[in-house]
Amino acid sequence: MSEPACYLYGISRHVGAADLDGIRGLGGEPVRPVESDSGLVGIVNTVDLDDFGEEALERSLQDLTWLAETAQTHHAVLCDVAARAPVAPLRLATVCLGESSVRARLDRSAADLHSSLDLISGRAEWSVKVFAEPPAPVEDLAGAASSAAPAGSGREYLARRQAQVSSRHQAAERAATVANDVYAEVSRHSSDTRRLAPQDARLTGETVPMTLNAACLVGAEDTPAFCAAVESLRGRYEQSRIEYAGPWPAYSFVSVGEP
Amino acid sequence: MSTPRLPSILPQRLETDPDSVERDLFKLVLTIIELIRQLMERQALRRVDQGDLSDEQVEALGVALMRLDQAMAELRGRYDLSVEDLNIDLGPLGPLLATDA
Repeated sequence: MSEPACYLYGISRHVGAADLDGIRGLGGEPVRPVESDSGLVGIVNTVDLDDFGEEALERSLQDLTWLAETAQTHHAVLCDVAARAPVAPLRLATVCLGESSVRARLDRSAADLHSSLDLISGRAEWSVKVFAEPPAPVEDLAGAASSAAPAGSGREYLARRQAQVSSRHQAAERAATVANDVYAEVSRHSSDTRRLAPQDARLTGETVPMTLNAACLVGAEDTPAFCAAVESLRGRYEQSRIEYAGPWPAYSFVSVGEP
Repeated sequence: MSTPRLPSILPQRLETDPDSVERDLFKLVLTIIELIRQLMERQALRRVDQGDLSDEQVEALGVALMRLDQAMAELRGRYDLSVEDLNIDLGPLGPLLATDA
């Protein structure tokens, strides 16, 4: 092998080796810049093809421990770089065979990458998640009664079920309204927003479903107003849990024509 | 080398040891019964809403559905299954069983 493989974290501009000094990536390797003719800089570190070749990756991506560690390193490097220069994050496990291949990749989507970097410069991604209100306790009582006590007429049973169904429908409608309202409100304080698919309850570990999973691109100067807006939404919808977190690298706002 | 598993995140695979095969089969059967139970209940509620059933019919329907509900709870209890356990994720089509019924 003439050239070692490069793990590509993200793409930046006007970044030199000195700017990345001290950042360690996967395997403890130093993170370094690879500059292309189109004025873009790939943020990379050297990896062993035995671990990051196509076949090895396919195997490793099934291993949750490996995945978690790699994702954490990936994220940590991007956060470190983002603190020093605007960086367009790439998805996990983007590996190029050597620096020349990194440069070719940057040049190929140079126009897209430059406009992505223009968009995210001076801005960071924030995540806003809304969870539905917990179900009303009255329904639980009705449910418990129906399974515990065989007494009660068939007509009452049907009426109880009818009430449960309609109250859940109302709750679902209300949850959708809250989610739309929160999204509209945070959009007013963001340069750009994306509505991502709500995460599954198995991932969130919550008993109530997630109704909004928004990614917001917020300018540094808008951040206080953005946070204040979310806080006031929390006050307005006390029953629905509203979570927000950031600033993150702009994962959701970089679209690169990737193979 | 053993890889640690996070069963709460990834959907369960069908294990092939005898005990879990029995449980999984039982679960699948209950899923189908629960699906039919939900459809029947929805239809019953619709008919009651329309008001074209006699009082006796409404009463009989309600009692039948209530007993079916109790029987299902008892069967689920045998293998310590919750209603959520019976649901099957159909990916883009959403869950098989309604969560509001």
